[in-house]
Amino acid sequence: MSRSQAPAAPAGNRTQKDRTKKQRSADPSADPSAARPRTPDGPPRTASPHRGGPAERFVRWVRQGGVTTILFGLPMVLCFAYFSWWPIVQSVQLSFQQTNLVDPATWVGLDNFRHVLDDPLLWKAVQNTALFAALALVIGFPVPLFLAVLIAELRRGGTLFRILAYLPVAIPPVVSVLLWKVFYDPDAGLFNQLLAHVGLGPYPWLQSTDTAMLSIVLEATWAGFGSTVIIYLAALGSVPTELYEAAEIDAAGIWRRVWHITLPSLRGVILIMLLLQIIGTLQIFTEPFVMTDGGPEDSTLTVLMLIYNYAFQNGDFGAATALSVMLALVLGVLSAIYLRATRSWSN
Amino acid sequence: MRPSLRIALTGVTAGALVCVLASCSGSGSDAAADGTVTITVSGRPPATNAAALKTFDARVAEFQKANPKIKIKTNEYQYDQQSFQTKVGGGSLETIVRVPLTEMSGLIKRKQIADLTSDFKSLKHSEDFNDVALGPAKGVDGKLYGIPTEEYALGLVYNRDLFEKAGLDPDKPPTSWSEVRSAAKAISENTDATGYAQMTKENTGGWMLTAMAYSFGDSMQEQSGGKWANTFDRPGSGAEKSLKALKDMRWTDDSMGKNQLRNITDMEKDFSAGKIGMTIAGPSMVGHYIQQYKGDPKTIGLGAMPVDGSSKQTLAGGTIAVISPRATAQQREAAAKFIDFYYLSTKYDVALAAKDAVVKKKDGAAIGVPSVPFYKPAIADPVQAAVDKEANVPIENFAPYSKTLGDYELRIEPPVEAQNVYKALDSAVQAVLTRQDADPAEQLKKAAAQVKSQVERAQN
Repeated sequence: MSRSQAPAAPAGNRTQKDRTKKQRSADPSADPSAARPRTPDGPPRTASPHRGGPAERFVRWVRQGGVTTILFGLPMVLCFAYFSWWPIVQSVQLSFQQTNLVDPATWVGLDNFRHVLDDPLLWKAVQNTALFAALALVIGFPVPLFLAVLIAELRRGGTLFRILAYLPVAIPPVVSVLLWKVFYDPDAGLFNQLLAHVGLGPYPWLQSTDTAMLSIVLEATWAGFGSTVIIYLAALGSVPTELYEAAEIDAAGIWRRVWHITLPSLRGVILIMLLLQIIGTLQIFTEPFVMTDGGPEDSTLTVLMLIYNYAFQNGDFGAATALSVMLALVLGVLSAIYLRATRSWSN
Repeated sequence: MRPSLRIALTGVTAGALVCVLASCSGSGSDAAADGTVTITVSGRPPATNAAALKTFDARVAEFQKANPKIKIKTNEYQYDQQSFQTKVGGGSLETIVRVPLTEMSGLIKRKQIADLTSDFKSLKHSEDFNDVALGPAKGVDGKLYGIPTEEYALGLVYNRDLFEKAGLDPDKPPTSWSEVRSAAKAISENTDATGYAQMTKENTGGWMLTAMAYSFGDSMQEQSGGKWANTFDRPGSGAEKSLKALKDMRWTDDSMGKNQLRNITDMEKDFSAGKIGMTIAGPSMVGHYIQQYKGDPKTIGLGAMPVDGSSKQTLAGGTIAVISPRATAQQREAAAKFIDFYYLSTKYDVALAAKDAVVKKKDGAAIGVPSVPFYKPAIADPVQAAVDKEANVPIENFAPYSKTLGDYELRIEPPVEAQNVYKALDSAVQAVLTRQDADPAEQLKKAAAQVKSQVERAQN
């Protein structure tokens, strides 16, 4: 639900993928060795037996377009290597160094990690981040799913509701955060004004340690759910209509249809979205950074904000990268545990 | 497409990419064979401010004419923490950047700016700078790392209209914290505005608390045995008195409104919208009120920093020109020359100061907003008189500030890890203003514990 959660492309769900895998292994013509590069103007080359010496095999590989394939992929690989992988390597290296970005960096062993782990704000930030993830899971996760099912069930106006659901995503993140910041204004904000009409409030929203994080989660949910709705809707489109027709013949109502057909069909996508949400929410930054700067009393300070403060406030890039590396490790472990734990269910 | 052509095209693409990537890491030389040196000056006015841009370009051209061996490149970059670090890391930092005085200790500690000790001596009137202005530009090693270009002292910015509506005399702003408290109460009771507001976010909470602590006659850090240590958490400290004063206004008098999360921009916006009666800020807020927010100059007043105690102290701030740590000796020399010409000459040359004021007035700038001179009175006073003659704002509104400024001791920020101390104190200020049961002494102890190791490590 959060915008920090990358709106993943609606990749095929796991069940579908596994099914395809099984089909391949059952079908001799789908042998991986048959997957030869296609020429743009011809059919796929047929598999040829591996015969001859290394030189002969090399010549055959070149004739079959091996060099072209490598050269074709090279720009992309270089781009990734230079802009994505190399910075990651450098970050890991920097987490063991101290630098002022002017003089050569010096190796300091595990000092940066010790410094970060000794920081009393780290545990506060970890708690806050976990609280955000938990609140986002409870509040933000069911909303898009519920809306997607609702829109899919509509007989009319589906397109309009899709557009309306997606609209908040079209607003640049900082703009929507600033907008909500104005709405949350405790003196003259829209929310308190509206609630006053029904005799509620005024509420402190961002001004209290009790409600600040919840207020941020509400904004993040509003701003991010559109992307997830679209992904769910795309997945819903692939559910065979025969199942619904059969259910209708059996006089199943809307809730039974949703429970017995829609949700089981979406299981793979739901799992992926859950994983993305957990990874995304643990990296929450923009909302608390712009809305509260981690306040009041550090109650909305998140791990990513702490990394930002280390890097750009203290100029301590060693500590910032050390914490980044630790966060990446935690996210990696979480993802692995999650995937392993849910594999059997997914199948 | 024939395979050979495909290969050729793919090869060309890959080759081109490698060339592009290789060129990214290339760097050119800044010194030409004929002795011409090139420097980059940041802070050029944006194209949207056509008049100021024209004036800037004209001054740069004038400098170029007088110094043909120095080539000036200009851009619109203005200092901010994030981009500064990125520029330092990427090697693209401009030769001259102006930074807020509060950033100096961090930049000096990290050695991200050049040592200007010897270049400073080449400036005209280098002997006539006052020590307070130079203080923040000096490292603990005694070397000088920046050249002051503006200086100010914090005071009480207030809305004269709201004062009148609340039955207060706008010509006599509060001079003590108890007077601030009663004025804030009067404003919040008699108008829709917040009586008194305070910045609390992005280290401004700690910054303002430090200013208040000084105004209670105390300090934030003290030196003992050659090492600095935080003292703001000792019982009865100025910081504690300040937090108690804020707590009383917030919860007993209810004169601080409900919004307690503001940075400097939020404060300027809300103040300019007439939502706030009083706040602590520098005179630059007056300038922004008039120019940026199109406020009526007659409605803004500037008083001296309220004080409760035997000594009058206020926190000084300003901007300091620094030079890239990668600048060569020639570039540093050229940069110092430009800083002297562009930023300083109008502060020591009476004729130039008057001419500059006229030009800026034409550009729509507010002339007559007080500042703190960083040259000694013999040089600064005639310049100030010449500028005041060109004033286009009611300088009498700022008399409570400018006429008493000489009575105040100007103090610079805490010498060690000031920004981290401010950050920790943000939480203390926010606690007192958002939670009725927050205990000032306890909050200060928490903040001190949070930054203790940082302050100690910075001195090892």
